[in-house]
Amino acid sequence: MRRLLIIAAALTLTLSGPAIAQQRAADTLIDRAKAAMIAEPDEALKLAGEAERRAGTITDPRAQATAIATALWLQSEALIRSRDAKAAAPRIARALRLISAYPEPSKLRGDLLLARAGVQQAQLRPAEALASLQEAFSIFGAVGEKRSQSITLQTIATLYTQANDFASADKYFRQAAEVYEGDPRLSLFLFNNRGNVLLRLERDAEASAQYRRALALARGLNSEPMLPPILANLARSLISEGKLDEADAAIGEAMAIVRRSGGRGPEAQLLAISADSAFHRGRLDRARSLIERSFAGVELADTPIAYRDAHLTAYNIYSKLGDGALALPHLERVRKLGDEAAQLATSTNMALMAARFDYANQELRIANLKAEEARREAAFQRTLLLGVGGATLIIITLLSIGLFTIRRSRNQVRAANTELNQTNVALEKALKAKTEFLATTSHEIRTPLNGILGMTQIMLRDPSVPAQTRDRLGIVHGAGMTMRALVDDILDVAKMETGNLTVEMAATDLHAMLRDVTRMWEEQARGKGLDFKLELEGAPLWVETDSGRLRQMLFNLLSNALKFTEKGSVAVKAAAMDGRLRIAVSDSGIGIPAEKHEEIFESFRQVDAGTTRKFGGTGLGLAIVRNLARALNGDVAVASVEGEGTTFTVDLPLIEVAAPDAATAAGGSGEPVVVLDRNPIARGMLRTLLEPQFAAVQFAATPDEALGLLPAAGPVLLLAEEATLKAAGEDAVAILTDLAKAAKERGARVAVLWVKPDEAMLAQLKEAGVDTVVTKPVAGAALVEALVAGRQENCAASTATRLVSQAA
Amino acid sequence: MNILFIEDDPMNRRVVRDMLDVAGASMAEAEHAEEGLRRIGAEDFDVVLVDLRMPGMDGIEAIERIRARGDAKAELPIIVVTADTAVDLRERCMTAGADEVLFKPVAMDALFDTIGRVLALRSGGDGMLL
Repeated sequence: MRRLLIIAAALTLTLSGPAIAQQRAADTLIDRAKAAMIAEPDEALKLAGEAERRAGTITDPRAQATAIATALWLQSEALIRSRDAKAAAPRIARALRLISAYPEPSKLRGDLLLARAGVQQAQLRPAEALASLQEAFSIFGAVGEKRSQSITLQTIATLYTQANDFASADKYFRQAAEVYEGDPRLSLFLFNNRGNVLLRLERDAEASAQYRRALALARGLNSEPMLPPILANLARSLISEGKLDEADAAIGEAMAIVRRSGGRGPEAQLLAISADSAFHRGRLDRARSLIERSFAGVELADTPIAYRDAHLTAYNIYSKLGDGALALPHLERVRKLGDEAAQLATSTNMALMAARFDYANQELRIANLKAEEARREAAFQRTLLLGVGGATLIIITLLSIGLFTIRRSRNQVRAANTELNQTNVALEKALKAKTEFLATTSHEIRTPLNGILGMTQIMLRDPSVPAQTRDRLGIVHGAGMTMRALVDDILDVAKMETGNLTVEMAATDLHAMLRDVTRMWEEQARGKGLDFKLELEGAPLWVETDSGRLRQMLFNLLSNALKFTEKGSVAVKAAAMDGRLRIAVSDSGIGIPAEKHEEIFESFRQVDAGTTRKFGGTGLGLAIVRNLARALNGDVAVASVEGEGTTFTVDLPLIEVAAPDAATAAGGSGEPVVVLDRNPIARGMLRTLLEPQFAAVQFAATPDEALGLLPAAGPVLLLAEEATLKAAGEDAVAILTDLAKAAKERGARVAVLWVKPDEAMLAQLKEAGVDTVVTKPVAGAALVEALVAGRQENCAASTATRLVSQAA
Repeated sequence: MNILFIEDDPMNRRVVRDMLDVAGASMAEAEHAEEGLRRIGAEDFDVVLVDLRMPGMDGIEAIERIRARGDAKAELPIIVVTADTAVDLRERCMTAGADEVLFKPVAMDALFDTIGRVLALRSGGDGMLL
């Protein structure tokens, strides 16, 4: 036994040797990827990819999962930096799945959530980003990662900045500062960004104080390139405070640094701030000359977001000078850039993202802190040893102040945490209240709509309604349907915001689904005089997807295509390409100008701002399409030329599946059936009963309609119901005789459903050409049995006929 | 065919009654769940339609009570007709014992088709149908 153990130990050793080597190789690659992250994200992506492959060979399952998840995290961080959030999302999801087997909180899980929030923020899904950040915050709290907690809080603050909620942003910046102050670089961003928020809140003096703290840190870091932007910000807040001399000094210092290092952009900004200062001094000529220099050689129509304030200054100066022609283009640009202001926050976010990887600096700082602490402790002990009488008293006082300070800062952190939890709860409550409000409103709107749509449907079904009234009722019905779509859209948006949008993946017959969903629009298109095409070549038959959501996307896209196309064509094309499923909806309509290609998907914001009217319709359709596509791990893209047409392409992961057994069995075997029954409830029953046994079941309400549904030739079963025949004319048997004759000429078999026919009646039915008589009332199973039996008899009969004809 | 509609809103009752009239089916009414349960005990129906939000007993409980009957009527086809759109609503109704859920505004064809399908499925092909 002991020998066995020794052998086992030796085996373990020989096995673990290479295993450790693999682990080390993966770790080294991971470290290199981290190091490359800020300066060379492409290189980091490559290294992290290699790390993932190496990690795959690690034998210990937990170590392997952690290493792969870490590599995936780094890949997504690199992708986010290369502005490819779409590619990052599935990697983060996979990494989170990998480590879900080890549920205890870990820094890696927190980092992954932080990265996920980055993706969600980039994809303009702030509510989801916030939820990710909240989860990350509590995980970092559980594992004692204060620095990461601070980064998380700063990210939450930027999220609120983006949402123009500056008061909340300020609160989170404050909490971020209270949680952690150990990294001057991180604090520098924090003070600068908090200053920006305070400036927007018009708390100018406080803003200046924040900028000054940021400035002090930048000077301490000896980082000259960081100084000009902070000085520029400080100058702006000083101008707002009316401290123009100090503002000019700040501009002067910044200008000197910028001139030393070159770069036209920053200088132009500084000139504009200088012009603003001159403007505030009432020195309009100087202001004018400065602003002219600032904009010299700059194309006014496509200035970047950083020029927003400069444009505003220019507008102020020119309009004060009474030069409307020069002032106007600047005002227009201010408006335009105002819409893009959210992107400002993205750039501050980049700084935060850099902080995630600013390890070298962090570690150096920690080492410094430790050394300092050791010195302080030694000094303190010396003092204590030397202490007499009064000295002891002073020390006790100092000590208690120290303790008080420590307790205070601890309390502040604790309070910050409690407050964050409280606001989280409040936020959840608010979201819930909003959802409930929408649900109630929707319920209250649906009830009267049920009256409007119900009654119009009933009246439209009534053949005695005169044409003009029918036409008008059609309009009421159409308006009701639009209103219904509006309520549905609003509810969907609410579900997307609260993350309640459900996706149910199932095997779907793509061809059948596309044919079905396009049928209704095809009719409308033809009604408008448009061509309609559905192209399915190259499209897989069976895929795994959420067919309901896919329908909803196509419904929205087709509804738009028809709305905006007056002549030409509308086409739907599905195809598999590079492992993706692409469904394109094209039209030859009015098209969408290039600068609106992004905007059209963003009606979420429109809804929030209450300006939906601008877009007409619900204005939510495309936002819903985008959200649904993303919920299915895909996306939607637009290509359009104004006046020529538009193509929306839904791009989804392609998951091909085998046809389900039920699908091949259902309908595959039997012949098609045409049922003549005017009762819609009976039709529903017959459809359910016949569909599993026959190829296709079609319904007709009149004998003429039934004839129209019969193919030119082929094995078809025609099933006619007594009351429907009797409603078609006085002599039901005569009508049946004509119908049966026409059906037989096309090769169809005839069956009837008849209420308790007597002998005479049975004879008449046979005479009329009926092959199978089913007596009403009948059980569903018995009906199906009789019809299937008739089919077999008929087969035998036709074989006999053929034999006879051959013999002849 | 005789259908019972348990629904507190008179307009909704009227709409569904007129729709069913198009299909040649007659409709009995109950203004609240308690009355609906009483009528089910006393009369014979082919299908029961039931709203969810009603004063007093709600639709879910009414379905559960019907399903808890000890007799053949416990197997009555039941279709929920509701203006609610909560995410898990359909599942809740089906768990309580409903055969199908229809959302208001009700499309007439969907109403007929659903009644027909539920009748066909409920009987398992053995009951008297047509």
